[in-house]
Amino acid sequence: MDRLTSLPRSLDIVISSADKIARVALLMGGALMLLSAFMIGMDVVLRRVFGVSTWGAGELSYYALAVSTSWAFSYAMLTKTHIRIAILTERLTPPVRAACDIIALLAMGWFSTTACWAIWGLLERTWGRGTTSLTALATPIWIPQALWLAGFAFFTLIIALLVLRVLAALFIERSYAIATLHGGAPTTAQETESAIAEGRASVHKDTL
Amino acid sequence: MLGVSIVVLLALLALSVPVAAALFILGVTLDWGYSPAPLINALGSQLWSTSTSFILVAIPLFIMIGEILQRSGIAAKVYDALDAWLSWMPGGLMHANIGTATFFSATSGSSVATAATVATIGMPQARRLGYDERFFAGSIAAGGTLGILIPPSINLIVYGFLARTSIPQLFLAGIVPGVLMALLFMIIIAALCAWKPHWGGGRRSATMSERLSKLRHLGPILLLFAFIIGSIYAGWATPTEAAAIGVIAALVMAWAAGGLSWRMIFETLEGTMRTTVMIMLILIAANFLNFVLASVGLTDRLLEVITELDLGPMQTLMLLIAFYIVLGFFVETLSLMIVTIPIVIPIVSGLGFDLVWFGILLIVLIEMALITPPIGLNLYVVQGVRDRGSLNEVIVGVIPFAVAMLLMIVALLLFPGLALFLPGFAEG
Amino acid sequence: QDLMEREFSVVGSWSTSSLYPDHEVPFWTKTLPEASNGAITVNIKAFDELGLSGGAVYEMVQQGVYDVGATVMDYVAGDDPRLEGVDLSGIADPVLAREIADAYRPQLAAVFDETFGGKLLAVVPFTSQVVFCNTPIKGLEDFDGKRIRGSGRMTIDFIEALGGTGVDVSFNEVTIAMERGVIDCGITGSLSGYLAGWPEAATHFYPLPAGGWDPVGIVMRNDVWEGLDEATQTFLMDEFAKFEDSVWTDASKSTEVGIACNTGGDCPYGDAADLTLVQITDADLKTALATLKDDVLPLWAERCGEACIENWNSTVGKVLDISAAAK
Ligand code: NA
Ligand code: NA
Repeated sequence: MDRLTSLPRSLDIVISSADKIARVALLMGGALMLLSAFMIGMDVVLRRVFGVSTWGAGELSYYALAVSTSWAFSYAMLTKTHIRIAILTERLTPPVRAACDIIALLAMGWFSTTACWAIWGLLERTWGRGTTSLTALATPIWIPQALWLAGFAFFTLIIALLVLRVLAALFIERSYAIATLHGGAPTTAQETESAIAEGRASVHKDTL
Repeated sequence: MLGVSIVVLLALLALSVPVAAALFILGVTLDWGYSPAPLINALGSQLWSTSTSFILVAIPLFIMIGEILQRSGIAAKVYDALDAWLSWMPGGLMHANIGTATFFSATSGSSVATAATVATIGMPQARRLGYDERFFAGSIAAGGTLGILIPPSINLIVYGFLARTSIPQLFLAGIVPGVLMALLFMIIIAALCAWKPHWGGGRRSATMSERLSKLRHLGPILLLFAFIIGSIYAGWATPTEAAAIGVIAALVMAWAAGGLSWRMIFETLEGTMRTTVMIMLILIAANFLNFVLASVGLTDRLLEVITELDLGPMQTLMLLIAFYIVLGFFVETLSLMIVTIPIVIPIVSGLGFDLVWFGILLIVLIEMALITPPIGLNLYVVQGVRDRGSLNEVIVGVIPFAVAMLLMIVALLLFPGLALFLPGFAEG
Repeated sequence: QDLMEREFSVVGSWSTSSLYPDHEVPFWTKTLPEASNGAITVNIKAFDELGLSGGAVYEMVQQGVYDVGATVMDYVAGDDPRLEGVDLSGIADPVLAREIADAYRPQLAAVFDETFGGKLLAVVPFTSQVVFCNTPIKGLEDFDGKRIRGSGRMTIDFIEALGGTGVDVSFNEVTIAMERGVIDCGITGSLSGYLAGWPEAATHFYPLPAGGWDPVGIVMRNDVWEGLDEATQTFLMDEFAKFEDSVWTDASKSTEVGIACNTGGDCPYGDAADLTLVQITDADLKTALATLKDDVLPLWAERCGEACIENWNSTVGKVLDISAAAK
């Protein structure tokens, strides 16, 4: 019984460390895209101005896109950035809403698990064939695919943790509020708030 | 099959299943129910080809440009300069709202950020100068929507990707309607304020030397826009390449404006990835669904149904427009676009309409969805910044601008050349 | 004789090319059902209509999504570089191009079996990949210093061996890029180029297949093939042999039509463009062969290995009377 009541607390600890990882991954992903911008920019100048043949900046940038987005899925999950249309469920009673939240998590879990399985198969085949890209870089495709798959796997792990956390909130803590905190859709108010915060942040540096 | 798909999709969305998962599950359902072959076996390779599309790299890069400019503190300067140039007209500052939104639209692909920024700068002044807050707030909410019509536009990239239409052409096609729409907004403001002077605050006029000295604040953004669109138009750069150089240029501008710091860069990267990932997950699911729809023959079936209905192309188009206006009230705009495009595009191209033109028409409809209640994010953002009164006031204030959008839709129907002139010109 | 009743799901090559509507669709939906007295029926869609990338077609066949798939073999050269050996730059004569394909067929069949678990049914040309330029050229020697849009490793290597720069521009952007002088020349099918409006940006038309013939392989998954009885297998192979004949015969014709449409001849697709026709000289053909032997094939040999280049020398090499080795 003791172990059971401490479960929510332990899950919180695990989730908060996962959250830290997700944040670092998000920043690294953003940095990869910024780096891509510099690489593509350099490539354009070299190619258009100096007539140098392309060296694969574009190719590296789309691997960066794949890897940085797959790793950012988890962050979006933890911050509820994935779009859900909650216009109907917002108006329902807490128990029904909790059920919808669990369905939503399981649906996302289904998607991510299937994706992991499918990507694993793809990775096995590209590894087996030794597939390389058709460009001057001749990148062994398994390398970006493995990094990409890892992002999906982390995403799946986060979803599993959130499902456990919502179930723990409902059946151990018996709190709809905590369940909604972890599994609920963002309300319109919350979405607006973040947009405004950004708008304000952008202006307050200036004296008007 | 058609009925099942629609019911499954609506049920999932109504249950507030995340849009990406809903699209995926619909794909899986159609695969189980209607395909003799295991289409799910194509998932891995479909996900990979969408995730590694070079054109989609443009999405984070254009978002990044907007994020950098937003954090560099140049918005207030642009607003100040446009105030000096435009506020002599009836409606005063409201023209600066539209003008600033237009300028920011021309470098960033998002509309909500634009609305939030303009509202934060404009609202306090509007109060001080005694504007009608409803109309003033409405002009900001509507002006913000220009961001997705005037290139660069994330929504146009998403459309071009899913409808397999040239994104440079779409960008060129958005310019004339976008500028016209901004002018239309300003004409409406001037006309209404000439009629009801108390809606606009006191007019202000700046001296010529004041105006000229503030002109330099507009320079960098104009330069950035000219560069991005010019290089795409001239064929020097693909949209992705133009976006990459735009990011570098925006960083330089931010540095020159003294707005560059580690903190600002971290925030920029975070903001960029947050928006990007939201789009990408839905997009990879939508592209898998696209594939399933084509494989099980649902798109063919849909065309048959439309043909059997025996509506003319124009009537079908009217139905589609009505459908988007109605859905636009209730559905978040990005999902509205991505969920419907795979189904609507085969119909539209089957009827013989130009897909570039339809893309622009669709974007105007999406703009309208951004300011129609109950789900219209721009309304909430402006209301949130106002922080007093009720949302209803913003909704009332936005009505004249929604009318302007309807006029724009009619204009696009009557004169397709508005959208197709520039792309045709570029073709030679 | 009686054939097995069988329905095949087929993914065909580009819907916008002539191969798919003119040959693949009639063959699968008319010729085969009629010749089999209705025993064989087919569902077919082009890969681009399905939203697949050209490089994913054989993978889809292997994964059981379709029974048969057709795509340009160059698109999957990254999965197995041995496939590149059938698509050589600068082979102007369609009869010779076909001899090359026939000589290399056993190797292709082995590669498909090994890499994609598939049975090779046919090898047909997609279309000869010719050169449009917006600057005067007289022949291959003028590739020197030009910026040329091409696709495929061997094509790029060929361009660069002749002193040009291979540039990667997407098909739709070529006219603009050529008009603004970002590229000097572009390589594509003569009719695809004509229909996409390349002549509006170009001045010269050089019908040498500098980008090869882009051969398409039609491949059936092994377990589907093995599930057919012998009579059906024989029937299919006979029909595919006839199919190959008709496509190759047509390839010569469409080369002529392509020249006509681009250089002021009799064009069935619209008003002919009046580009300057650059004649293919014997010297050019010799230069092309020498470039293949000295520069392009050695680079390929590094990618595909010793056994691969030996096999090539003893098959295609015999046809062309050349022999290559890794540098
Ligand atoms: Na924009
Ligand atoms: Na709305």
